[in-house]
Amino acid sequence: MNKKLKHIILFVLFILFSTSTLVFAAKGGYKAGEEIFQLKFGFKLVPAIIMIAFILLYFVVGWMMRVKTTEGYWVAERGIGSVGNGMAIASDWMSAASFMGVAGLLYLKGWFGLAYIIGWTGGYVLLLCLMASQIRRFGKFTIPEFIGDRYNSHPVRLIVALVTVVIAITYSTAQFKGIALISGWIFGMGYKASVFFAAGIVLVYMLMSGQKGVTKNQQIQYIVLITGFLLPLFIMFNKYAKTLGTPGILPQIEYGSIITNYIANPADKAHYVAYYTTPWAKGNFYQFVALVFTLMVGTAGLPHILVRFYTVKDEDVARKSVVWGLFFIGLLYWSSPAYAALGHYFNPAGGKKVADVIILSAPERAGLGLGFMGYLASGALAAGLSTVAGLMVAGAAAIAHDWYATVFKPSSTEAERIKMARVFTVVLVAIVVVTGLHPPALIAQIVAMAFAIAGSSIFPLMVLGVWYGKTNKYGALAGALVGLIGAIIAMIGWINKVPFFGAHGVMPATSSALILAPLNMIVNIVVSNATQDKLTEEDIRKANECLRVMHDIKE
Amino acid sequence: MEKEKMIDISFFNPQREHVKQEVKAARTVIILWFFCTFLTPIIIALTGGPDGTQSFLCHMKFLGFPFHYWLVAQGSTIGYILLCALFVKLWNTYVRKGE
Repeated sequence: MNKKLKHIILFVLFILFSTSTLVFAAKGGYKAGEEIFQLKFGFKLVPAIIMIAFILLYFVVGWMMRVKTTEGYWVAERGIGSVGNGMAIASDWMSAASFMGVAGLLYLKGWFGLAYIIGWTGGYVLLLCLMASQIRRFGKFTIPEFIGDRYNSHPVRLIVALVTVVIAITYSTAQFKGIALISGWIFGMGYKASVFFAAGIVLVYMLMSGQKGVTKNQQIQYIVLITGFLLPLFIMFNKYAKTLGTPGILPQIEYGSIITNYIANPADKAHYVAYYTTPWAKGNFYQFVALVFTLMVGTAGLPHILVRFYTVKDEDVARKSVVWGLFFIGLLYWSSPAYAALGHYFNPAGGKKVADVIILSAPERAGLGLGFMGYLASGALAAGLSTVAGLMVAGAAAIAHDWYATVFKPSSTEAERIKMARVFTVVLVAIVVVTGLHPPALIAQIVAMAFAIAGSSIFPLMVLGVWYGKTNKYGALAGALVGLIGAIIAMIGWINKVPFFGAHGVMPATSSALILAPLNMIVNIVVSNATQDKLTEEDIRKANECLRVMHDIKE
Repeated sequence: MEKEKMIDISFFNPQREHVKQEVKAARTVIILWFFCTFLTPIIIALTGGPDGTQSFLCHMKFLGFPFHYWLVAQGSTIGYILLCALFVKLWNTYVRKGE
């Protein structure tokens, strides 16, 4: 069966490459001197064919990986290897927003924007050192389950399940902005049609194959998204090598001279962009550190990333897959600043409009040809789909496994559980379609806060659960509520423009985990120590069971 | 009957030999992670004046980049990957040795 799959993949890739080269030879129409950075919407035949071929490939993979057990549906039968899981980590992680948005952020924020790059990568070091091996040894299905079992508490389990579902819904909804931009650009689709289109694709292969098909597809989608991201960049730098005065071979290094020669010290003073290299232009030292810390603990607390460690063969593979995952993520983040620098070179004073579409408009403007544009768009779509799928698995598992099969009806049979897994997958996707069609203003705000929320509530619960034997359900509940309520208050304060929680305040809502995560831990430790006598024998026995498994204790 | 005792696990005071080794590996990498992440902004904050531009890091050039830009854009990220690889290696030397 695996051999057959490889043949099909190779065949599709062959067709794709041959069409793109053919079209590339024909070249697109870029008019000299055109300064407008706008995308031309409308149906484009060749990119559409490329994109549809990829979508069919995702369906075929979903069909070939179809599963009959809950273990297959939620954790891919625990058969994923380290490179494969690394790719899945990377494409879980890299959304349509990071595919297109990070370059835009750097374009707008300069040096300060680099906080996002280290924040979104450094978290994996903490994740690896503090949790990855222990999560794999524990080896069940979901993150709420880990927390609920460790603390032997349904309320704590349900709080984490709720946070998981809220993050899954809001994050997926946010993906539709990027996905709709791509579908509109290639197929001329409107926003509403794009929402149904994307949700439909994800739903079809998820229902067939759950996490197993999602993971296999994420591996393919990683390759599509990273090649789609890098190829245009290499070609553009090669094409403009003479004008830029660089060798045109390795954009990731050469963009340094664009920054030095054109952005930081241009011959023409009008093009000087002060904030691009001035460290504290867009925020001070404290705000930089708070943002970096929040993004890191948030990354290490996001359930759809943590769940990836259940899907691997063993803890060795779990550890190695983080190294691979981070490398695969790095490939994209080393290149995003090059797009940003190129955007500045082409259009120094474009503002937010340019920043939003910088990844698509730069190649269109450079006249890369429709074949490559189609491939780039497929990459962006792959980034969006893989993230939505990963989130939907984590969110549906939180409802179907942690609420239905654990709390609501523990006596349910395997057949009932796999049925409910599919039912709740459909329900969750339906909810996302509804929120996608009419995005409440709150969605964008929660997405901006997702890292603060995950970092303030889930990360401390995980770390103490693994590394502090005395922590118990009362401490966990108190700490989690302090973290969660604190993050929500910060969010409300930020929406209502309270200076304390604003971008230049003492506790900026998007960076609140610097204060709230340690506070959560302190509350947890103090309350746990004060309530030692209240624990029942069952509480202690269950906690010890988890600790023995996590730390490999045989006594 | 006496209650079952809680297993004492603590990151800062590990009791069992193999847990000590795990903590040793994690502690080393987390300390390096701290420097890898915060050293650049700390140096800029200490030496760079009000907007940070006076720091020697900003005047240095590396591969055509202003050095402080490269350090955060690429240096740290490369560092993180090396740290993850180091952790895998440390785990294998420290923890495996006891098995």
